[in-house]
Order: sequence, then C-alpha cells, then structure tokens
Amino acid sequence: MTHAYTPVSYIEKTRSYYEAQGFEAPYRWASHDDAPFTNLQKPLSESRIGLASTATTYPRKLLEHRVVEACENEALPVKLYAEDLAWDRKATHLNDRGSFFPIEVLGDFAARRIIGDMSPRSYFLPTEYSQRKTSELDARKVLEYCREDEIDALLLVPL
Amino acid sequence: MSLTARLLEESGIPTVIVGSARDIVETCAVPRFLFTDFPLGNPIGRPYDRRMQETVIQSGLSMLETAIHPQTTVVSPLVWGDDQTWRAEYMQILEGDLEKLRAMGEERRRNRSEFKSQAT
Repeated sequence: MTHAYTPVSYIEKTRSYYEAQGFEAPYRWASHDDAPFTNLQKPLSESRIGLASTATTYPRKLLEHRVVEACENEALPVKLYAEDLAWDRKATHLNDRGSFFPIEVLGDFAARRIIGDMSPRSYFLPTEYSQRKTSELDARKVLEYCREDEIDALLLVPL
Repeated sequence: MSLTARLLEESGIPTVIVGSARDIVETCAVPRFLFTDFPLGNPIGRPYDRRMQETVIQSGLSMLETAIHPQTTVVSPLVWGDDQTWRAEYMQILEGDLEKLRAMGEERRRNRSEFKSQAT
C-alpha cells in the first residue's frame, strides 16, 4: 500500500506551539548542508549491530538531569520510559516496547543470520535542548560505548 | 540523535536512523535515514504489529548495504492506518486553548528557572 500524505512539519508545529506558550526566541534546530559517510565494512549478515534510543530505562522527570546510559540487553526492563519527551500521546502509546525499541526484532534477525549479532548493550541517549551538550558530551559517550562493544553499525531510533 | 549519528559516522561507524520527524532529521543532515510516516512515539510501527515492525527494521538495516552516499533518505511505504487525523491534531493550537497554553508556558519557565538556580 502506498500513500501520498505530506509529512508533518514538526519544526513549524514546535515553533508555533512554543510561541503560543509565550517563548520569545524560537528553537534553532541543528542544521547542516552535508553529512559524513562511512561504508559498512562487512556484509550485514556478519555485522554486529547496536541499538540506540531516546527513551530511558527509568522514569525521568521533565527537568531532571539527563545522562547517556549503556544497558546490558539481558538486564533491560520490559518497560521503557519517555514521559519527558515530546511524542503523540493522543494518537498512540508506548505500551509495546517494540514499536520504538526493536530489540526483539534485532534478536530474531541475529538468530536468522540477517545480521551477524547484536551488541551486548543498548544505548540510551537523551534528547537535549543544548546541541553543544549532545555533540560534545553525549555523542562522544555513545561513541565510546560503541567502540567498547565493537559494533559494526548503529541503528538509532528517536521517538 | 542526528548529531550523534554524524559523530559516529565521522569516527568510522556507519549509522542508520529510523524516525518519523522527517524535517528535523533532514535539516540536521544525516548519513542514512528511513522515514516512517507515523505519529511521534512509534517510529518502528504500530504497537503489537510485529510484522510491520519487522518490515521497518529490515528496510532500515538494508540501507547499511544499499546507500552509497550521505543524506540518503528512504521513505517507507507503510501507512499508520485509515485515521490520519493525528497529522493535524498533534500540537494543534485551538483558539480556546490560548490561555491554557500561555499558563503552561509560564509554569514551564518558572520550573526551568528554579531548576537552573538549584543546579548552580
């Protein structure tokens, strides 16, 4: 089935919403004209894949200090949290972890040799207002974890 | 998350983002992006729809082998469902809500200010 809906403009919606809340300066989203690129070094069926999410393993408050986590997949809680993030609470819910954190599908793909294997840990990366914090601290922490776990590629799933 | 994808890629680790906020991800510019046109919160697919979720992940992972240049976006053909009202209703600003929104903003600024003063 195909469709031809116009994608929702979240930048525009966010700008209008916060303007209506009385915030004077609109948020400036990260913007670049080009992007880096690295080829996968081996077939997907031999590659170790990591998974990163903007959710958390614990209920975090809106203004709580946000940190990057690496959690052993075997120790992951069934329920993940994102109450402090912007997502469509009216249209959907987060009761099925697989709808935003596909760890079971990845495990199944590893068993079927669609991927080589999974990273032993998953990474939880907060959405931050400060792009500087994301680039200079959080992203570097994720890179460190990915290197420790010797992954070949990372699947990132923002809510 | 897009900024993290960029740093990893610069550091030699290929990435693919699966997400539903196309304008935000593409404005940041990332190496590989599978766009799923779903409400924010379930970028992998409808809750409990394992078949849909597998299809999405298969499409995303395959980009690691098929994309040959940065800023490659693949648009998933999957549709959330017949009801598309979420597109208009998300963060919708209705005339009758303006006072409530203003109050929410004031509370938010107050909380943020308290949080900052506690942090310093």
